[in-house]
Amino acid sequence: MQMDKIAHKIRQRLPHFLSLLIVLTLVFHCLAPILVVAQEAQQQQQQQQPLGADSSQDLRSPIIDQRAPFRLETLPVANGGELLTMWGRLGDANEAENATQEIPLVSVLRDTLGDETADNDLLRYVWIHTYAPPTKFQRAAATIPFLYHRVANRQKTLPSGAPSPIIDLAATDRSVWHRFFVSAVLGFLTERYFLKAAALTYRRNVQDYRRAHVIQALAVLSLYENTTGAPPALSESELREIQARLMLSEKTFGGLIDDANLQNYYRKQTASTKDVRGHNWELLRQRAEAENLYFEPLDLPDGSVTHALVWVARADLSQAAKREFGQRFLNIKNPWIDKRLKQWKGYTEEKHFDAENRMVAAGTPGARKIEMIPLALYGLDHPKIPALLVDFRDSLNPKKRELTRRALDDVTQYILSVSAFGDLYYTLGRTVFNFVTGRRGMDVNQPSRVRTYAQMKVLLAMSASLDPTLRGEISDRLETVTLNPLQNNSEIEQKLARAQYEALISDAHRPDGLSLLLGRDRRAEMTKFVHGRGEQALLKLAQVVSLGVYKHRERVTPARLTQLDIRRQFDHHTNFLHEVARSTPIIEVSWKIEDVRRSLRFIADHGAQADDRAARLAARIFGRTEDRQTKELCLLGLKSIDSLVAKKELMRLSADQTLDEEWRNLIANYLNSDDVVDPSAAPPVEAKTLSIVAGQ
Amino acid sequence: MLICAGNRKLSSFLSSARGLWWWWWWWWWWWPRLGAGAPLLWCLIFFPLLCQAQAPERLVVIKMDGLPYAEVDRFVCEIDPRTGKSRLPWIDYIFYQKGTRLSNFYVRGMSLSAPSWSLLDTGQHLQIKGNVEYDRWTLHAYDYLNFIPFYLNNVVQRRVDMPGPEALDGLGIPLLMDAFPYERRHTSFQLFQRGIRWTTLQRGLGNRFTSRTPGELFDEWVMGFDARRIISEQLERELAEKLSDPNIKYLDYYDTDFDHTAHHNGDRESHLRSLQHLDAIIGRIWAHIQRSPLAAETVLVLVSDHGINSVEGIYSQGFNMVQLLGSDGGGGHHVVTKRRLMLDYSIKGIYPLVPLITTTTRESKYLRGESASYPTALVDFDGNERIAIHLRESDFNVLHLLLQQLQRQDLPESLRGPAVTGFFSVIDKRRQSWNQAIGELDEEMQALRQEIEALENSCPPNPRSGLNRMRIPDATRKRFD
Repeated sequence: MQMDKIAHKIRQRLPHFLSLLIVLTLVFHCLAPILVVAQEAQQQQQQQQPLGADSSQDLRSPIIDQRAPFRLETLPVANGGELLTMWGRLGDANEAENATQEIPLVSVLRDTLGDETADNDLLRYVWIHTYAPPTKFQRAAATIPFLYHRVANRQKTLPSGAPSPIIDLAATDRSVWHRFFVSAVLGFLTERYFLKAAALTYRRNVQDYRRAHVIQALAVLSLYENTTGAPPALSESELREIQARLMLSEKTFGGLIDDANLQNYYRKQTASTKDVRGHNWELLRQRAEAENLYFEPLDLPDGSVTHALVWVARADLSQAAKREFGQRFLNIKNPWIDKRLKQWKGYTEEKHFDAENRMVAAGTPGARKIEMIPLALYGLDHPKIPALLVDFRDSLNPKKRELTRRALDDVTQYILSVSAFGDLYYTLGRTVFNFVTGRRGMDVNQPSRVRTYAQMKVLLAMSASLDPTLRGEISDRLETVTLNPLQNNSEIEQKLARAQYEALISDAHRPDGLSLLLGRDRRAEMTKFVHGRGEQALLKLAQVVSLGVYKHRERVTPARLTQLDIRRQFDHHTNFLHEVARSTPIIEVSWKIEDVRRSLRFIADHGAQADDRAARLAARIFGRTEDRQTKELCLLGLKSIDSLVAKKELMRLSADQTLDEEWRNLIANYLNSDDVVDPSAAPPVEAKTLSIVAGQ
Repeated sequence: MLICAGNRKLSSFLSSARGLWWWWWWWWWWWPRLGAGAPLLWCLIFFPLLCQAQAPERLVVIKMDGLPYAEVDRFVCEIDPRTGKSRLPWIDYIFYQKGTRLSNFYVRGMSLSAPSWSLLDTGQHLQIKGNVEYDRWTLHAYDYLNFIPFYLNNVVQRRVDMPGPEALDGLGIPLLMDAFPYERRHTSFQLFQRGIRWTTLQRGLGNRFTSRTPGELFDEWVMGFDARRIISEQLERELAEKLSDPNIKYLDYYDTDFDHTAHHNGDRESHLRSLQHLDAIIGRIWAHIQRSPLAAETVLVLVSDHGINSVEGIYSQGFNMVQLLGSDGGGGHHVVTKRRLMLDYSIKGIYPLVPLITTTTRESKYLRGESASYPTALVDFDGNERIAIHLRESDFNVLHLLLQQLQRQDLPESLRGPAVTGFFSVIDKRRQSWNQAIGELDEEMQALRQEIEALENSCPPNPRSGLNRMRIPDATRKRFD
């Protein structure tokens, strides 16, 4: 019955769909290589001509440390902001080359409210400069199902104005609701079969394009952190917060995660990534050595390894014609019987080995020289198995493997119109297939290698250890792996990065640019001072429904600005106290007590603006310290907070028989003072308790 | 090993003894002058003090798997710029500032979990010498780490202890926890575990959800649940609960978090994260002890079984010993292991109850196709760049080879004679020792039979079965006979 239904569906839809699809795919497939080749030729002619705004307007005159792979540039923005830009030095740039061999990678806008206090700073937008809006042609290509090819590079000038940020760190929830809204709209609007396929394909390509750039940014930020440490301009916790938010942006509900969990999430993910890399390193090394091949990890500037090359010695080829070859995990053809390798004219490298067969530097005494042929390049940061990225003998080999899962998904979704929720047989079959391929580590039907592909681009750009010729060989072959029509090649991305950066800088200088954006964001932030939670939810809904066109903002007054300043500081101090309270049972053992007192003092001084969370934290800290001054500050804070929760916490403490008499007396005094909440304002049961404690 | 004496008498004695420098100086001056009477006098003065001091009422042992002393020490001595305190503030506070530690702790045996814990838990000479051991005669495997068969057998009431305690019980060696009556001890889930508290699993799952706010649960769900912590969190809760009971005199807590992390990652950041997690647990346990009625009489001990020899930035450079043993150069052995090779990449690997895995080789010269009957190498590859290899007795190999040749119809008579001679010369050479072994085995079986009969006779009548006494099933009895 099920099969009949499916067959009927196919008979009904397939002819129309396929005819349209074939026409479009043929057109694009024919055009794509021509366009790409033509563009790249043109690009070579225009090597030194940057896109977009004129770079001669550069006022910042960066002083470059020739040895450092990264540097951080800080640019003040009017209206109380800072634009922090991370510059990376290209790996193939030699000492004599100048600043043009640096590229801007990531920029972050920090709202400082125009003062020196770090407690009220807020990280806002992150720009990844290689992430440029696609052209119309690229967008059109991205809607075509089964088009798994890069069709063209972005050659046109960028749209005027500031580039779009990839994330707003202060409002990450917005992207979650926006994503849901778009999905819902697509579900309603795309009843027509082809439209639905086009919309879903487009959305996936856009998501993959964004994801690739997020991964590049993460790789850059990680490199930056490991190579330079955390300078004062961008603290370690800020750097980790940015990375955690970018990691979470790949998850459906990632934007809703509480800020308190970011550091923990970052550490967890980093450990997991290192675990995967180490595992794949060892798996690939053992497999390569078992087949008499040579394994070489490729170092990033910070010493971490995300990719590895597998080589074969030319001399071994003639000696081992009948050697058996196990393809498992290597996923390349048998090199011992490959005639192409015996007459190899491509890239080779001479490597030196000591008596114990360890790779050593040239000129090492007693080292012997061996001519090596590269066989394949693998990404180690891939789930379960090393991901084949470049096969030097068969450029299409990695692409075929990458395609399997996507093609299977597309065929079942667009042609067979079967979903995992709608068809039991399909679900069972697919589950078994996924289990077998996943468990066995077969390089078909595996997760996309977009992560390791994006990291390889960073490695090619930043690593100085790669031979330039080999770099070129890898770069050319790597471009064939991408399935995304929106993707640009590495050289174009570098140009786009410079152009987008220039556009951002000019926007930062304009009075209606970033400074205006800062002001508008502050006005939106002030909404919570004027409206209650319900109203805020409605205003947010309006923003989501209008796709961000409508955004409620308040008028700026000096009082509200002060309120904003205090609110941000409050958030800073309560987040700190939350971390302190949950990390240890006795605060002074694990934390500098002066820092804790400072935060508590702030709460005590601004109790009128504190919320229930601050009250609970003050009570929690009170129970976790033996420091008299800190305890007093906790009680002072609870006294000054004008909320029922604060009073309830005071009452709970006053009823605690394990507390010293002295403390209970002090609490009772606080409860009997004039500041106590009016019991008539409280609900009946609470009013009664309050009256009893207050002695009325 | 790190020790903190919550015992006020002991700690005050230690601290005052350190402060009384003049007292020590006085002894140093008088010792040679008093001659043979000096030690006696010293004992007379200090013995009552020591006796009074060393009488803690309760022992809390935190057992951490794979905690390297040097690494812990390094992190304890580092200051976290953010907090202004040690990177491991609780270990610093409890053991460095308030307690004491043995820096050169040395296990007489392999640096492996099962042997090390057997030594630490018993204080006896090493009897268990690997995470898995094989009986070369019967091919029985003693897998001390695999807890899944134990749990499953416990459900059907076939086993009550992990294989480690079972082996030690067989040798008559008690564990530290056995020094305390059952109702006065609270033990964790561990390698040398006696019994299972199924309620821990049940309550752990429930508490995982009830101990968090919906917001926290949502965040956890998005970031990925850490299922392994369900048990450890529940064990910590139960420990805290039991600490408030003054009747409980021995408590332990076992955690493998660091060992798991360190086996996977060699980097400083991952190690530090895991150590900070452990440090927080130690802090919470300490806080619970301080709130408990026996706080002043409690000794808290942190102990670990072995370290980790990983170096940051360097991945394991080992090679496959099983393949080496199976290769022509390695002897062409059929190799028995306790785990499947490339377990994570095998479909069959999901089945956890496989007792032995045999890796068959095609390189065997005389046992090709007979790997199931005649494995010749038994391997325990667990551990830090170490492996234990048990090889078949060489005389059996010689007998096997000669017998195969003698069974050949085409063997020339000129060779048959020497082969027969060789065959019997091996038997003659070993006859005495084998006869002795058989005699001893007979004696053991006889003793065992008698013991079973005595047990049968001592059991009370079973009214349900209608039998007068519990009887050993005939099939079991036949095995002994």
